[in-house]
Parts: sequence; structure tokens; C-alpha cells
Amino acid sequence: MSTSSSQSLPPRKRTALGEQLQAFAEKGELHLQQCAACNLWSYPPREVCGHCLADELSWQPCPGEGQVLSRVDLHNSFEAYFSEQLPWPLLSVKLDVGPVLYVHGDGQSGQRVNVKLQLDAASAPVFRAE
Amino acid sequence: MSRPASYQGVALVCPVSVGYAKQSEKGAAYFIGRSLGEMIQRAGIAKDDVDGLAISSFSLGPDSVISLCQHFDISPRYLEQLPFGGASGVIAMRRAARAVQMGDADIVACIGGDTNQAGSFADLIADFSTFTRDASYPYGAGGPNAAFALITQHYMEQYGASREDFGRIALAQRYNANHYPGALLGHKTLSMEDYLNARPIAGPVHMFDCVMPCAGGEGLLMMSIERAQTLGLPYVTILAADELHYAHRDDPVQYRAGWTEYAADLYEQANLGPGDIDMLQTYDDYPVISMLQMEDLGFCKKGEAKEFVRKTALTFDGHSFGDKTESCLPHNTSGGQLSVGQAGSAAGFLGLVESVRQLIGQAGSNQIANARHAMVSGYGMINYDRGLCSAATILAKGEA
Ligand SMILES: [Zn+2]
Repeated sequence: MSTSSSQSLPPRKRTALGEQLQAFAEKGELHLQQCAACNLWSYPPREVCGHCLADELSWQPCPGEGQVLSRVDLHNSFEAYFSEQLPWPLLSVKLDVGPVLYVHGDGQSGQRVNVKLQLDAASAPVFRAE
Repeated sequence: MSRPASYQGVALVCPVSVGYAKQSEKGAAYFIGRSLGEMIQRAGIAKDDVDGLAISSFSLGPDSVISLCQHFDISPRYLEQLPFGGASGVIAMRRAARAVQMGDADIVACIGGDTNQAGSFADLIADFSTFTRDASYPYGAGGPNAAFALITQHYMEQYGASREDFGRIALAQRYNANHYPGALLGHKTLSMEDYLNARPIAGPVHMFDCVMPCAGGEGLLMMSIERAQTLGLPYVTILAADELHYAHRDDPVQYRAGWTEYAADLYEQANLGPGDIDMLQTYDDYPVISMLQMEDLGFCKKGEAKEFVRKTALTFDGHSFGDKTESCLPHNTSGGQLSVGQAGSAAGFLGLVESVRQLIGQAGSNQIANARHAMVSGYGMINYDRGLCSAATILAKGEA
């Protein structure tokens, strides 16, 4: 994947909860919300535990091992940052700890990958499979 | 688990499709209001005879169904707003049927209406839900194309469906649209070569797998059968209907939806089988989703929709494009969203309104001969990686 030569940047907008990934992305430490009551992991970011509804979610270091569920190349995007760099690969990955994540990176369905939390070109938090 | 009580005594009348345009500077209230205006004219009733409104719209904000009362100068005693996208038609019908049965309203107008202004679709998908904002939009997965590309890719790898199989659905629908004047793409033919050589959009999804966002309105009136007969209106009845949302939530990738959990009950309540269904209207935001509905609603087994579409003519008149078909199941008989256009939430009413038009014999040049029973299915709301809503109904032509 090439580096964009223009001023276009990836979408920066997140919810207030999504913004909380920023600090972990800056350190490159994969964190997801884990529930202290049931120990299960939730993603996308939630206000209450997606399993037991407890008010005990907190961001915890999370193992990034997982498996690619599906992979496509995007040939079209409403966002200039992506449309200038097509085709753009997109993966869905099921982490071994449970959640399904859309991630940047390369890979094929069935492949084992390690998901990292990083900053993208807009300095926003994104997941990437390696 | 209990199942829905009978919908007996309720009539669906006066199906209308209005104002379809690729883009419009008008607001959503235009498409909803003109649908209502056309329906009451067709029914021969006064505006104030409509005492219930069930509305779906993505583009009505900041207004809502209550704002429409002042906009249209009406005083209903029953209001519903159904933000369920592609399932909103069948869900509106279920809610309105109970209101009519219970006396909460005598005549309910069920309407899906949306405008499509320049840039409005891009705005909608950029901020569709909190989950899309955090977890899909930043990855270039803006809008449903990427989510459905991942679903389609997975389905093809799992079950061996080919692009040609999806193309069979798209071609049949375009053929149907060629006979339905309201279809925005109905003036163009579509060949398998056109389909296969189309511009790639995302993974296996190419241009003719995607709907064209547009403006338009779809609606019908619901009332008692007695009232419909008094008004001299041809009508349709509900033999069975159900809905289930975010079913199979542990499936890592969507390959089925809630229909699997109630399809058998629908047939049992209707005292019919899949072979008795004269037309199937699926929510075709992408052909793979129509295949999921064919499977989950019992027209074929899971993973076998590819064989089903090879051996079944899906056109309104049995035309089969050179395939050696063994039977005919008219599918998305006005062209579906793929060829009519996706008028926001109105697209969630498209199959319902078309089915009523067909069953009362008012379909025009795409009319199916001797149609008595229709299956209409709804699906919608891509909150992140899958559609959450499912709904389906079996309708019957009313007794004269
Ligand atoms: Zn919990």
C-alpha cells in the first residue's frame, strides 16, 4: 500500500468511546474493552458490557492473535484518502478472545494474523493485521 | 416460544409508488405527503379518514412522524416511526395490522419515503451508527458496499456460488424492470456480459450488484376487510408474518438471518408451502442477500441458492435467458432495488407494495398471471458487519 502524496487524510471522526483508543494507539498497545464481571471482551466500543450488561467495562491489554474471516479489495470509496490509493485491502478478523474487527493490512481468509493498534495517517487509532 | 396471533380481518389496499428520481431537491415530506395524497384519492376517502400513520424515512430529520401531522394538517390517533431500513415495510405492516385489529386506528397509512439530495448518501453512510463511526468508516469501509463485499466473498468461498449466479438474479430483475415503467433503470437492458464486465466496487461486488440511491415514496393503506369491501377496494390479506432481529449473533460472518427461526411457522400458519408461493420479493440490497433469503425462507437448502437460481426462472413471465430452467418463481417482479433504485426507507416497502399491486391485478405490463400468494421479506440496517433486521410475510389475494 503506497503513501498518499496529497493532503487527504483518513476519517478522523470517532465516538467519545472510540477516542479512548487514542492513548493506547500512541503507545502501540492493543487494548479492547473487557468486562470485570464476566471477563468477556467487547468490540466495537460499548457503553455497557455487550454480554452481561454490567457497568464494568475497562480498557485492558488484549492478545492480538486471530484469524482472517474474509478479505476484499476496495475499488471505490467516498473518502479521498482511500479513493486516491485504490485498491485498498480490507480484512475482517476474529480475534481468539472473541470480537470481530475490521482491520487494515494484508491477508487471506483462514490466515492467522496478529492485530496491532496503531495510529493512521490522520494520527487516529486503527487496527492493523500483521 | 409463542408465535404471532392471526392477522385475520385486516386488508392491505391502494399500493402506490411515487416520485422516483435519481436526485431531488425536495424534502422527504414531499415523497411521504404525495404518497398519502395519492392513496386517499385512490381509496376515495377524506384525508381525515386516515387516523393512523406508520412512517419510515432516513432523510426526514429533524422532523419525525409527529411533525408530519402539522405538515399535512391531520389529527391521527395512532403514530409509528420505523427506523428499520429494508425491513421497515413488513414491520410497519405488522404494527398497523394490530392497530386495526385492536381499534387503535381504523385506517393506517404505511409509507416509506426519502429524498436523495446531492451528497446526502455520503453523509448518511459517514455517520450511520456509532459502531460504523468507530469500527468500519475509518477503514475505508464507508457504506454497505464493503460490509457486503466481505459477506459475499465469504459466502462464495463457503458455498461455491459464482458471480454468474449473482448475475442471474440481477438479469432477471432488470428484465422485470424493463416491464415496469417506474423503474429508474428500466429503460436499459442488462446482459450477462454487461454484468460480468462491470466496474469493480469492492471484492466480488461490482456495479450491477449495487443499488442506486434515489428519491421516492412507497405506501399502502391498511384497514378492516369490511371497510375495504364497503369502499369497493380490491385488497390483500396477511396469512402470516414475523420478524426477528440480530439472530445468529455468534456467526462470525453473516450467512443467514432471523428468517430461519420462523419460516416454517409462516408456512404452517398460512397452510402453504414454498411451492405454493406465486412470487417472492426479497430485499436485494445485494444479490447475495437475496440468496440468503431464498435459502432461509425454505425455497432451497443453505448453500444451494446457486443451483436454485440456475434452474428457476426468476422473471415475472418465466423468461429464462437460455438457462434450462425447471420451474418459475417470479422474484422482485418490479425490478427490485437493483433496477428500480433504492429510495432510502421506501426500498423497505418496495416488495410489499409491489406484491399488493400484483395480487390485486394492478401491476401493468409486468403482471404475473393468476397470482394468489406472495412471500415478502425484509432485511436491513448494517450497524457494523451485518444486517440486523429480518422480517417476512405471506400475503394472499383477498376474496372478491
Ligand atoms: Zn460482562
